[in-house]
Amino acid sequence: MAAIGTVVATPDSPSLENIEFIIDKNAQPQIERGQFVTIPKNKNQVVLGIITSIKKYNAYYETIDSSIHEISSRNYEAIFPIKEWENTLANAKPLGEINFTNERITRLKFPVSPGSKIYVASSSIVSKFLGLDKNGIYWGDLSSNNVKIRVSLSRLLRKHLAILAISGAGKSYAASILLEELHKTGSISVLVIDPHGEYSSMVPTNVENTNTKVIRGSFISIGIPELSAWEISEFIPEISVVQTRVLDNIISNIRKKNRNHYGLQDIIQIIDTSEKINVRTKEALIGWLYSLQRTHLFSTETSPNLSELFQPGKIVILDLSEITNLRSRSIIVLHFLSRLYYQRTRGEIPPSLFVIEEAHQFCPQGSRSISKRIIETIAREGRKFYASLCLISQRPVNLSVTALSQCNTNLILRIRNPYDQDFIGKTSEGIDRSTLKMIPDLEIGEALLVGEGINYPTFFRIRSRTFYNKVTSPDLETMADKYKEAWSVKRNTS
Amino acid sequence: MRSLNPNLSDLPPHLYNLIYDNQMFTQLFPQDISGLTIGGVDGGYASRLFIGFDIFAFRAVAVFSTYTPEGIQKTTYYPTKTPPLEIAVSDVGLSLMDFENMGTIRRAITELQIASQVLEQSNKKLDILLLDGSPVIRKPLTKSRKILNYYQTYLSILSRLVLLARKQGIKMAWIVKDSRLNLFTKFLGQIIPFIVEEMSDILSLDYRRIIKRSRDMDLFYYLLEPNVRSMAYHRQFSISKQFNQEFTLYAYYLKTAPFDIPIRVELFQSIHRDQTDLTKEINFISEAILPVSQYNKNYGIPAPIVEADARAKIKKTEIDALFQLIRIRHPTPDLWFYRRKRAPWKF
Ligand SMILES: Nc1ncnc2c1ncn2[C@@H]1O[C@H](COP(=O)(O)OP(=O)(O)OP(=O)(O)O)[C@@H](O)[C@H]1O
Ligand SMILES: [Mg+2]
Repeated sequence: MAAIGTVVATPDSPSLENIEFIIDKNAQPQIERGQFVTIPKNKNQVVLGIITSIKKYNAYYETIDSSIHEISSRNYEAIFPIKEWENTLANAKPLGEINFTNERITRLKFPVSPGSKIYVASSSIVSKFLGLDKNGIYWGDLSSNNVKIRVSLSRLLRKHLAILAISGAGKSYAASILLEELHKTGSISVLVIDPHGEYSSMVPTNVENTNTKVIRGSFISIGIPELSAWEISEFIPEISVVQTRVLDNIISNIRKKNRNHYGLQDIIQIIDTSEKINVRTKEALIGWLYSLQRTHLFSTETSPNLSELFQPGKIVILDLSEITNLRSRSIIVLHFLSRLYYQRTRGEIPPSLFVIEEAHQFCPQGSRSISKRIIETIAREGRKFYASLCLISQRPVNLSVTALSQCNTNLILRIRNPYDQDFIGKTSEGIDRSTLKMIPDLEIGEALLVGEGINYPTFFRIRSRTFYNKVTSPDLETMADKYKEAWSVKRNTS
Repeated sequence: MRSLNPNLSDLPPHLYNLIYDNQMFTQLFPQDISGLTIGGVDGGYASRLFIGFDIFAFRAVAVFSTYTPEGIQKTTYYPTKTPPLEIAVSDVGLSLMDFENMGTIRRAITELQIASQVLEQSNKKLDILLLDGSPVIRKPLTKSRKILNYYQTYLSILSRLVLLARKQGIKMAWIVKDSRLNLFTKFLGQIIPFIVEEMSDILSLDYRRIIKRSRDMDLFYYLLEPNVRSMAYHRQFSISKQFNQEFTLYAYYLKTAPFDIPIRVELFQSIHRDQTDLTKEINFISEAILPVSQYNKNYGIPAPIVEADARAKIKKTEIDALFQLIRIRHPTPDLWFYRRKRAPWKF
């Protein structure tokens, strides 16, 4: 393999922190920021580095003063061999020294020499350095080093995952790749909370796909007989302990009468007719229960039976797009997560992953949400029970710090908001300034993986979807046309 | 200045013989250089006095570009784009004066060697070769045999180079950026009485005072306009012996950029050539220099010289690295260091 450049001597390079090198003209097309490079030290040792910046330099334009504006550039370049002296310089940050004899990676103790040749790091060196797993989740490619980013499933998920980026950067797409891989592995069960119905459209419609199940919001119901008073009270943030106890009494009474087929309406009736409950409690309880009833989520039976669906390798998508009320959504999230998590702690369902889109809605920082407690609980304790979270959000700042800080692996796509960038710099360990600076420049499909899942923050390109349908949302004009069409049809028929 | 262009052909012979033009100013027209290959040679030099020995570092580069109507078609560097430094050590402690002479002469030798090598390589098709500085180096006032030997070497390389260029039909000219001579002012002082009528404008000033205090550059900065050159003047140089008196050196001033001082051009010519032939050649070279020197109204050094200078220049980082290396190998304090920086106080 040919060298791509030569280390130059500058006041601050080569040092333990920085290696500046001049890139060979022929090698330029294959050089990229974020690429791993090696500098051989001797037969058994190479220094590994990562390209942090690339710049062009031409001394001819170094001391440009105002007078240059009088020169027509054609003239200037016609007379001087300016192009001969355009150089491309790059900076690489040394990451460590790799010893081939003992296969060890150690910290760099002494800088490389000026004049050293620099090479593109081989895929095996990079894979080893990053701690990739050849049987892991194939999430994308680091094409400049010809490396497939295959991340150990266990390292990626055990300590939770967060996917963070601005809207449209490709969070859902990246998550769908993860689902594709989990589907292939078929080992764990996955629940996807899908508020916008994005995932249901990714599921193949033409194939008999028994492993992915989409449940539409309108088909979801929560069986009141399955809920204790304490569980119901979680849906009512304002309820007091005394009031819950009253509710508990009533439910116990219903159950004592051997009734296991009752709904909210039945409870309301009993409260209404009870003479033991004081008027204020009565009014409050009835009001709250009515408000629950108005969500149309509750019934005498729970449907679907998620624990039955939750088999190894199954992916269950809760499509909440038909449910517009945030409270109703949170109730669903709370109910199903609590149930599944409880069952997981008892080993009744396989190791699980809970993918939560719009996580900042279900687990907000600073404000209340019905589903916040369960998500924070899984974030804190889930690891012990092999219950993992994948939190997806476009507003990390608004996402519960408790939950986010437990997500030890972050997949970061493009983020432009400086507050969010700042926040990520603070919460994600191991992201340095130069890495952080690259985040706003990421293109759709480019991602930074950092944390527990990988040994070193790595930029890579999310691979293309193979299994799930390609979804492309139609553009605004198409939607407007569709609307007009539908409208005119309606008018003509009426 | 055309309105004020004295005819020199009527000067008395002892003055007329010093020059090679019939008029003081010649209007030139930048020529179309497409198809021409024009080269530049320059050298860089750094030195340091150590205790017990002195170190010199040299480098010379030749650069030649072939022009097309669209601009540069191809640029070649000799020996390479960035040649390594040539290091010389002299182990006798030289006097400060000799140390400087040594540096100057050896640097000049390095440059001429590169130029010779370029000319010898027949594949390097060259039309015009520009060299930085003046070929004139005065014989050093020294008793050091070594330095005198180097001086002789310089003269013989120079004469061989001039002959070689002529044999190959390559036109060679030296470009002096900051002339400090006063040949022309002296000459002008001598000829003014003969051209009074035409120079009446100048004479309305106290010309003697002005001329006596001026250097050529000051004078021609005012007298020349862009694309105008002065008459060529015969320059005394003891090298004529080496050529069996066959070549002599001429110098003239050429204004390239409107707000820059003129450059001084020096070239060797056979004394056997007739004057119109010589004038033609001078004009040809000048008119080729003009288009490669006109890129900025405040700066008018020919591009090949600028480029060669940039490549030959020894950068501070290079010198530091080099002398650092020497200091590690020979742990003696170097003299500059000794004198200036080791002082136990700091002002
Ligand atoms: N790796 C990728 N390769 C090709 N196309 C991609 C990739 N990632 C995303 N896209 C496309 O970009 C668009 C937006 O992606 P996606 O819906 O995943 O973004 P998002 O971050 O989830 O946005 P939102 O916050 O609005 O949910 C989609 O049309 C998707 O097909
Ligand atoms: Mg999305």
